[in-house]
Amino acid sequence: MNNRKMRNLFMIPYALWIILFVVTPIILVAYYSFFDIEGYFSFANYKKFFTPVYLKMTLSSFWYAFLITFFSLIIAYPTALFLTRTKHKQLWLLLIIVPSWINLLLKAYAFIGIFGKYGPPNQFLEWLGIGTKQILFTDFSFIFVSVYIFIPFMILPIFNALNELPSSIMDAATDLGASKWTTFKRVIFPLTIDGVKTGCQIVFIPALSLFMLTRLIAGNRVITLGTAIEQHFLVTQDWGMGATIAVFLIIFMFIIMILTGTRKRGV
Amino acid sequence: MENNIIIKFQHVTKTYHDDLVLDDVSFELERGKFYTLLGPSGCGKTTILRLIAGFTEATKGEIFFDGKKVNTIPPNKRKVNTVFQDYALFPHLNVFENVAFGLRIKKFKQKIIEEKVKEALSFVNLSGYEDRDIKQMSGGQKQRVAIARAIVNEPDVILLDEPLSALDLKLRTQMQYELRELQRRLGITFVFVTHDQEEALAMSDEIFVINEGKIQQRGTPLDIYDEPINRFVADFIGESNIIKGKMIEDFLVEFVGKQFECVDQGIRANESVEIVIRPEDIEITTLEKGKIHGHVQSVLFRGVHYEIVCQDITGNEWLIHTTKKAFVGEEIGLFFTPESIHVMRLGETEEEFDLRLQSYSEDQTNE
Amino acid sequence: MKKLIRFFLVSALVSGIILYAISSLNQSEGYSSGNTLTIFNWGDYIDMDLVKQFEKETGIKIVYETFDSNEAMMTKIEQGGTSYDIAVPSEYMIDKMRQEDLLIPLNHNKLPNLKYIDDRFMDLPFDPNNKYSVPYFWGTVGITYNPTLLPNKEFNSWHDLWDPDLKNEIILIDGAREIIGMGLNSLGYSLNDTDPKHLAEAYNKLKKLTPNIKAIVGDENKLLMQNNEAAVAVLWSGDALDIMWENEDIDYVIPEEGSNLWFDNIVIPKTAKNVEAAHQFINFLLDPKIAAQNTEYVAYSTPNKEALKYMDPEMVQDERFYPSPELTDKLEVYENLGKKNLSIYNDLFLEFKMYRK
Repeated sequence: MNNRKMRNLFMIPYALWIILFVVTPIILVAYYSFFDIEGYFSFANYKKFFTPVYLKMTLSSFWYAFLITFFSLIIAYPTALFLTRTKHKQLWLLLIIVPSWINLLLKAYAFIGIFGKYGPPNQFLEWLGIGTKQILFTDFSFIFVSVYIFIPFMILPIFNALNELPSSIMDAATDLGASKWTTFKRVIFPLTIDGVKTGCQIVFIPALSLFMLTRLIAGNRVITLGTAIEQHFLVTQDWGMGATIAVFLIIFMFIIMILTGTRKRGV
Repeated sequence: MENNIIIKFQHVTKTYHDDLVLDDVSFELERGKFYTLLGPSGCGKTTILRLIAGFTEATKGEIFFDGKKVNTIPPNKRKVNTVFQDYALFPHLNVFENVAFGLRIKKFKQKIIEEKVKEALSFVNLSGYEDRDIKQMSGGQKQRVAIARAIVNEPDVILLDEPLSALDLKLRTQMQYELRELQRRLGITFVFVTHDQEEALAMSDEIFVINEGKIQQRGTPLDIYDEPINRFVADFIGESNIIKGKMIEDFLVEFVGKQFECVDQGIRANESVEIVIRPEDIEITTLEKGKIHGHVQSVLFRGVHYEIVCQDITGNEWLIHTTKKAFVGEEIGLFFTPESIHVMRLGETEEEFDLRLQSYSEDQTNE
Repeated sequence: MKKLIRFFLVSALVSGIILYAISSLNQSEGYSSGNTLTIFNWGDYIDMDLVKQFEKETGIKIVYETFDSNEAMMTKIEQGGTSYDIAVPSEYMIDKMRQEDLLIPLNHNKLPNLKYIDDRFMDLPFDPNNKYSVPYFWGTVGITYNPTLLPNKEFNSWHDLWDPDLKNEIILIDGAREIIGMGLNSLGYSLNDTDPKHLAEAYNKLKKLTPNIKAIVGDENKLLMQNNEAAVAVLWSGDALDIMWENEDIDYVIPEEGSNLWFDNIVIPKTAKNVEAAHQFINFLLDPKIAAQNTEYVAYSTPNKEALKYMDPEMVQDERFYPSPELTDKLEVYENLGKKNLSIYNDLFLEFKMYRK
C-alpha cells in the first residue's frame, strides 16, 4: 500500500510533464488546425492539404527523408561495424558523436563556406581541371549536410546493437561454413536489425520535418513539411494551416513508429 | 597408422601480444576417440581448440588435419565443428533453422536438409522441437541444439568448449553420458575442453592435462589418476595426499620417518621424491594395524563416505575417504597397500616418465 | 552522483553571480528613474554624435539599445521589462503593433519639424495621418549585382533577370510580397494587385525564372553577395547598401517598371515613461540640419525634403537611392491586402518555391 503510494508520488512529475508538454501541445495543434486564416472554424485547411501543392510537398518530404535515411544507413552501418572492431572503440565513437554537440546553425554556416564557390571542394575541382561547380543550394549539398548531421544518431544504436553481439555467434557462423559476407547477411545484420530500425526512426522522423537547412543549404529549393510549418507560423502567420500540416506530420510519425516499432519476440 | 591420425600439432607456439599462451606443444589425435583437454582457466586449452577450429593462427609450428597442413585455412573451410561454451545459437532463427544453418550454406536441397535436421535432432532427443524459438528452450535443450547444429554437418572432428559448464549438476551428469554415447554412435573424434576433472575422467578415452601452455601429462583417465606425473597433475586430478619423501632403493621409499614397500623403481637411491596416496586408498584401522598413526581433526559426512582429516606426528595432514566413522580427537591407525603408494620424481618430464615406466614394464615381461 | 550534485551546485552558483551582476549593472546605469530617454533602434542606425548633442542641449540622459529584427523588438516591447521611449519598426510592423495596442499616438503639436518631411512620404497606408509614426529612413526593393562577375550585363528592368545567361546566378529574398510583387511589377501591374488573373500571370512569369534562381534565402543573402558567391540578388536597398559597404564592386538598381517603397519609422511604444522627451527627440531628429548629418552617417535615404539641401550633392543625386521623380512615382508602398489576399500571395509564393524546372 505504502509502496504504491510512493510509486504514484514518483509518477507525478512524469504525468505532469506528459500532460503539459506532450498532450496539451498536440491538442492545441489539433485545435488550431480547425481555424482558417481569418479565425473562423472550418475544414478549409484540411481541404487545402489535399491539393496538389501540399501533396507534392508531402511526397518530396518523404523522398528526401528517405534519401537522407538511406545514405545515413549506408555510411553508418559499415562505420559502426568497423568501430566495434577497433581497439579504443569508445574513444572513436566519442569522436563521431562530438560534432553533434555543436550548434546546428553553426554547422550549417560552416557548410555554406565549404560548399561555396571558393570552398575547398570547388578548389579541388578547379585543380583537377573540371572547374567550379554549383554545390551549395543543390540536392546534393542538402542531402550531404543532412546526412552529416544525422549520422551520429544512426551510428549509435547500430553500434550498440553490434557491440552486444557475442563474438562467439560470429565464430559459430564461420565455423558452420559461412563466409564473411554470408555471416553478415544471415547472422550479423538480422541480429542488429532492431538497432537499424531505431536508427532509421531517429533519422527519418526529424528528416521529414527539417527546416532551416532547407533554406541555408538548399536555398529553399527543397521545401519540406517542416519548412512549410515554419513559414506558416513565423512569416505568413497562417497558424491554422501550419497546425494542419503539423497534425499530418504527427500522424505520419505515429504511422512510422508503428511500422518500424521493435516488437519483443519470444517469451 | 598415419592414416588414423586426424589432427597433429607439431611444435605449436601461440603468443598473444607478449603473452605466451601455448609453449611448443606437440600431439596427435586419432580418429573416433574422445579426447579431453583438462586444465585450469587460462592454461591454453581453449587456444588449442581455437587453433583446431581455425579461429586463430599459430605463431610458430605446424598444424595438420588429415595429413594436410591447415595453419592458414579459414574456419569455414575446415571439416570441424564447434559447440561453444555459451552455445552461440542464432537467436533470430528457430531450432530447425539453427540446425540447418550449415546445410543451407552448403546449398543442400530442401528435402535433404529436412531429413538431416530431423535425424540430428532425434540424435539429441529433440524431435518435435523444430519450430521452437531458441528463447523458449531451456539450458539443456539449447545445449542439444548446439550439438545437433554441429553434428548435422558430419564433420571429422567436433570441438566442445566447456559445453556443460552452464548446466546444473544433475543435468551435467546426464549430458556427460549422452555426449559419450553420442560420440560412440557417431564414431567421430570429439575434443572436449573442460576444467572439471570429474567430467574428464568420466568421459574421455584420453586426457591431456594442460598447465601454463604446456601439456603436463596425457593418457587414459586411469593412467592419469593412478600415475600422476607431478604435483600439479596429482593435485588437479582428484584429491590426493602429497607428502615429501626419499627413495631408499627400488621398491622401498621413506616418509613420515618410516620406510615403506612400494612398486616404483628406476629412481636413484636417496633421491628426494613426492609420495601420492589417494584419500580413498587409505583405510582406517586400529593403532596396532596402522602403518602410521593420525590424530583426527575433522570428520565430514559426504553422503557416500566420510571425509576425515587427521595429522601425523610429523605434522602432515592426511585426507581420508572412508565408509568407516571416526571421532574428532581420536587417535587412529592408517593403512595402505604398497600399490597405493605412488612415487613422483621432482621435475620429471612426461617423456622421462614414459621412458621409466616403459623400462620396467619391459623388465616385467622379461621376467 | 556526487559529481552530478556538484555540477548542479556550481551551475546554480554561476547563474546566481551572473544574475546579480546584471541587476547591479542595470542599477548603476540608472535605467528606471530621472530624466532619461531610452531608445530602441537597429544597430548602427544613428549618428551617436547627435545623441550627445541632444543630451547636451536638453540635459536629458539617453540610454541607447539595439535590436536586429522587428520581431525581436516587438517581443521585448510586449514583455515590457524595459521602459523604451522610442522604437524604430519597419512599416509592416506598425500595423501589427497598433493592433496589439503597443503604440502611443503622437502629438503633432509637439512635432513642428514634421513639416519638413516630403509630402510623398506622409499619410501612407500603413499609418493614415501619421497618427503613430514618423518616417525615419526609406528605401526600395531592387536588383543588386556584381559587374565584375557579369561583365557586359546591364540591369535596368526586372526583365533583365529572365536573361538565359543568368542560369543559376540569382538569389531572391525569402518574402512573398517582394517576389510576387516583382512578378506583378515586371508585367506592369501594381504590386498591390489582387486580381486572380493578374496573380496567375505573375506566377507563370515567375515560374520561367526558376532556372536562373540559385537560392531563395533570408539574411544570408548579404554574405553570399559580399563573398562573390552569387552575382545577382533581388534585395532591399538597405541590405544592398550594407553589401556595397563591404564589397565595392557591387552595384544596385531600381528597376524601371517600378518597385516597392519601404520605411523605417519612429514610434513611441506603450512602454514609454518619458513621452515628453520622446517628442522632443523626434522633433530634434526632424530638424533638417540634424537629419542631413544623420543621413550622411547612416547613408540610407532620408524622407526629409529640407535636409537634402544640407547634404553632399553627390549623395542626393545618386539615383540608386534618390530615384528620379518619374521612377519614384512608380514606387508603391505595400498596402494591407487583408489576410485572405495575403494568404493567396503566400500560397503562390510557396508554389513558386516548390516549382522545379
